[in-house]
Amino acid sequence: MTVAFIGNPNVGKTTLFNKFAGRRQKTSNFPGTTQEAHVASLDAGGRSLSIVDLPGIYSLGLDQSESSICRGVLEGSIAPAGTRASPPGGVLLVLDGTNLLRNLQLAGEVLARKIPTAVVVTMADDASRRGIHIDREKLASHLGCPVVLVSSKTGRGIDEARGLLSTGVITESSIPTEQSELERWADAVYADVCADDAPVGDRDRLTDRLDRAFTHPVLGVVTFAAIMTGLFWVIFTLASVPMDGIDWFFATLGAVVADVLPEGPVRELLTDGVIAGVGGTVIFLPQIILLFFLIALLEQSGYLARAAFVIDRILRPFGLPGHAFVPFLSAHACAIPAIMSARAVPDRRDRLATILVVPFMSCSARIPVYVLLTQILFPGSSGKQALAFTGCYVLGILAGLVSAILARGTMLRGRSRPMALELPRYQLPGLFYATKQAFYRGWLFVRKAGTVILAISVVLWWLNAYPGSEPSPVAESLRSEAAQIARAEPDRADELLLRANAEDTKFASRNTFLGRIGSAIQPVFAPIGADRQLTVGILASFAAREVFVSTMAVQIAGSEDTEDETVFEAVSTAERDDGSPVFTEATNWSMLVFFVLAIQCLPTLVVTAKEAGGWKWAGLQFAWMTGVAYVSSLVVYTVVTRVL
Amino acid sequence: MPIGDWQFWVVSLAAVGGVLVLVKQFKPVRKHRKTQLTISARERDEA
Repeated sequence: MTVAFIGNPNVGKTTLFNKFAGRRQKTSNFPGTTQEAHVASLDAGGRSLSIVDLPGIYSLGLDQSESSICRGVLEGSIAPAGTRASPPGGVLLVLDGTNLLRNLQLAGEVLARKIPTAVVVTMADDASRRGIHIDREKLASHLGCPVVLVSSKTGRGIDEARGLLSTGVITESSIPTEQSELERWADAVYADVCADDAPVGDRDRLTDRLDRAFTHPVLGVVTFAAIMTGLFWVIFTLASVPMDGIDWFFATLGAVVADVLPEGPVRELLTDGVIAGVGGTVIFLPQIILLFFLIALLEQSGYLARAAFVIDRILRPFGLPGHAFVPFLSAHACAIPAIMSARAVPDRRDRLATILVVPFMSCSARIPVYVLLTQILFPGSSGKQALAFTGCYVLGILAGLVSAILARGTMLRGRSRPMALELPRYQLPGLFYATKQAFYRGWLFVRKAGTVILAISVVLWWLNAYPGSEPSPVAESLRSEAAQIARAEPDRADELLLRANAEDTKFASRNTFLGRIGSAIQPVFAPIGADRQLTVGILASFAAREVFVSTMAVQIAGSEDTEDETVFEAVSTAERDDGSPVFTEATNWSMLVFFVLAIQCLPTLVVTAKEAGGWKWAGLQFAWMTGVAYVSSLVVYTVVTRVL
Repeated sequence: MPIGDWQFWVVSLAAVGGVLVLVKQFKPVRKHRKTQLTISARERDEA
């Protein structure tokens, strides 16, 4: 027998579901998180049951995807994948004890469908504390089915509620179906079963005051800006320590592998391909985990829903809802979990627009590229570097917002659903839940990005290592010079040998498959100032943008260690095949703009295709972002070339 | 190409594995919502 869980958003359906099934579904204090139907099997009262957790809805009659799912399940026209569609054997109606009046309207709609129903009233303890005393017997009599009061915090009533799963009954009460009559019925039931005798308590007054401040058009925005500034400050300050640790770990691992394995392609693949590739991605993990930890804390505290209201006013002119702010925020760590969190955007058009523009936000992987290019642009001026850095973030946000207007005005044209979000109670956030969420998100990042980036790193390494070439003539002459002075000037000889090795790598990189592809495609990127080496860097970074830095270092300096000052110097003063500098000022600005706006992340495209429901959306995202990046870089390159 | 070197074949095999992993990413994606809730009125009629 199948039992469907139905209720308003944020009443504790998923929490109850998890308690019954012993599973940890995602629960949220940000209403509307449950967008899908979760299914679990369990034994209750000796019967084998299949329970289905449905999305939270305010009414079965609304023209929304969540309501449509619930209607379909109750009518038996749709069913979770893998199960046969048929009307459920029972319904567990989950009502919020602190907000019973509004919940009763949905209860009336469900009961009128004459399906065996049992009722669970959640947050019963909270309701009592607020002076709302619910008469269980009277409520059961009005609804015509068994009722249990539960409190998830204390566990009160949970076992009894579990026993009710298979004992729902079809109500014999007469429940109106017309909306105004249903409202009157709900009013009458509420008046009879609830003794709402307490004056508004201090806690409620405090909630009202906080709500007024947090959702105020001016104060709310100022508070939001302060909280977000603090959030990013904490992330960038605290994450630097574990990031250094991860960097050290992979550097040590590389050194150990290099010591243990004999010289040869396998050792180079492991050190330069696998360890460097995976290390380059995993280094951003602390920022991602911290960001999601802090988001989970804000979400649980109840602030996130208020922030969504404030941001709704700002985002609405750009055709995006307030819900989009969580994906926008997350995207500053990584676009992959950000796109996944867009599931919480209820309207399909809003959700698609959010998914399409979210990768414009500057993710952690762009940081190494920004660092390299701003350092070359403004050597020794950390103030100007910071300004250019901030400019990159602002440019990304603006490009995202303008793209959203265009998307909503053309292919995603249509009226947005007005922002309707129940403001949850303020509460102290649970560290355990936040930690669990953060590590879960971190694991998703490692699993989804790690496998693809590992594969890309291995393939790129191979393309950059073969077919190989004879030693460079310049390197040969350096080596013979070193051999002649080895005894007289050993230090100078060592230096010459190092230069010879770097020359060899540079020479070989021109003749590798990747170098040849770069030469063939270079004319496409020539208008934005890219030479063969930059073209290879750009091509390699279409897989993952952080690869740009290591690819440039390998080609130009013959080393991947851009921390090394001499290597950085070599990259910044590198020459093109014709002897002119690779990084002119115009090329540098052009590359910076290109890297802010281009998508350059294969895993993001994969997640877009999965979340948006098809490769056409990923293709559109790729074409639009690459096109915008190319045209903007072209304009910047042309203007800077003419001006300077 | 150093085809006589066994290490070349090991790294090339790894690269082929990498390509396969990438190709696998491009497999047709299933629609998110439809996989969760299959519209199966026809299925029910047939049953």
